[in-house]
Amino acid sequence: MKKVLILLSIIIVSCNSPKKEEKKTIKEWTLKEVIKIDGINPIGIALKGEELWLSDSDHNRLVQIDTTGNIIKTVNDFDRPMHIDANTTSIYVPQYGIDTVTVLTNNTRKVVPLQIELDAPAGVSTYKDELAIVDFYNNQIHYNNGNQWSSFGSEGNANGQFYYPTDVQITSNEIWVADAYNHRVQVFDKKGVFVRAIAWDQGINAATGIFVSKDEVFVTDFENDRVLIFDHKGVLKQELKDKVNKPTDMIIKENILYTLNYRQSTINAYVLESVLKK
Amino acid sequence: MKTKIIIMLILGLVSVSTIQAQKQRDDFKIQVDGLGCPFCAYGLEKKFKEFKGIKNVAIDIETGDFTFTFPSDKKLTLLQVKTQVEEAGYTPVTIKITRANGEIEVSEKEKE
Repeated sequence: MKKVLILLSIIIVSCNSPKKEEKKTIKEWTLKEVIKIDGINPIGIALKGEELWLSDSDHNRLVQIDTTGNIIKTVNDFDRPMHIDANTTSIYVPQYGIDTVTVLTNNTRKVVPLQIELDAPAGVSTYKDELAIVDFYNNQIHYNNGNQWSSFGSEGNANGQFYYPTDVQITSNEIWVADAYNHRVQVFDKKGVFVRAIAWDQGINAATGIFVSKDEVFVTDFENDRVLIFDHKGVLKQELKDKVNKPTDMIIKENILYTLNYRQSTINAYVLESVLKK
Repeated sequence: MKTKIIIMLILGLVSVSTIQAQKQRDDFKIQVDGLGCPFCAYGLEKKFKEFKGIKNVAIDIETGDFTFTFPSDKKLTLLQVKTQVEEAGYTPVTIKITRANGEIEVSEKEKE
C-alpha cells in the first residue's frame, strides 16, 4: 500500500512539474551590417548582372554602389526614378515625374513604347521577356507577356482592386503587387486574375515595396519602420525592425539580404543564420 | 524730336514694367495631410507640374509642408490649389498665398 502511495505521488508530481519547453532550430535573417550611403535617398534597388544599382529619386539619378556603399557610377537626368529593375544588360527605370519607362543599356536610353497613358509609373519588373509596370494614379498593372500588353486593376479595396500601388514583381507563374495604401500584397496569375492577398492582417501602414525570392516574400511597412517576411502562402515568418527606418525596397545578392532605409541613407545587410526558437 | 523721345520713354517704361511683372512671383504655402511616403510627395509634385511656370517646389514628407512660387500675373487661386491637392489624392489643411504685391490670401481653416 505504501508503495502504491509513493508511486501515485511520483506520478502526480511529474504531471504538475513544468514541461520542458521544446526548442527547434530555424533559419532567420540576422542583421550583420549597416552600410552608409551618404547623400543617397534610395527608393529602389536592382541587380544588373552582379552590379548593385539604386534609384535616388530625390536627386533624379541612378547610382551604382559596391557592397560597402562606395559609389562606383552615377547616371543623372532622370525624373523621379522609383522602383527600378534590371537584367544582365539593362536597367528599367520608371520615371514617375514624366510618365515613361526608360531602358538604360550602357549609355543608351530607350523609352518603352506604350499605347497606354501612364500616370506616375511607380515600379517595373522584368522577367525573361516579360515586363510589368505599376501605374500609381491609374491604380493599374500593365503587363507584357513578351508579345502583347494587358492591364488589370481599378481603384478600390476589393480583391483585384488597388489603392495607390507602388511596386510589382513577376515570378515564373505569378505577378506580385505591393498594393501600398490598401496595406497588403496581392498576387495574380499572368492573365491578371486575382489569386490571393497576403499581409493584409499585419497592421501595415503603406506596403510600398516588395521583393519575392524563391521561398520568401519581403514587404516594406514604410510608416511603421518594418520589413515583414512571409512564405509564398502569406504566413508571417519574421519581422525586421532593428535599424529599419522608412524602408523602401529589398534584394538578395549572394545570400545577403539588403534592405534600403530611405530617410537615413543607409542599407541594412542581413545573413541567414540558424537560431533556437521556442 | 521731342515727341519721339517721349514715345520711346513711354515704350521703355511699359516694357520694363511688363518684364518686372513677369518676374514677380506669388508664394504658396500649403499644409497637406496624408503625405506619407516619397510616392505621395512626388505625386503631389507631379500634379502641380501641370501648372506651367511653377518653381521652387519643396515638399517635407515629415511635416506635410508644401511650398512653391508661381508667376503672379497668372493669378493662381486658392480654389485651384485646393482642387489640385485633392486631385493628387491628399487633403489641404491650410493654404496661404502671399501675392507679389504683399497681399495675403488664406483658406478658411487658416483664418481660424
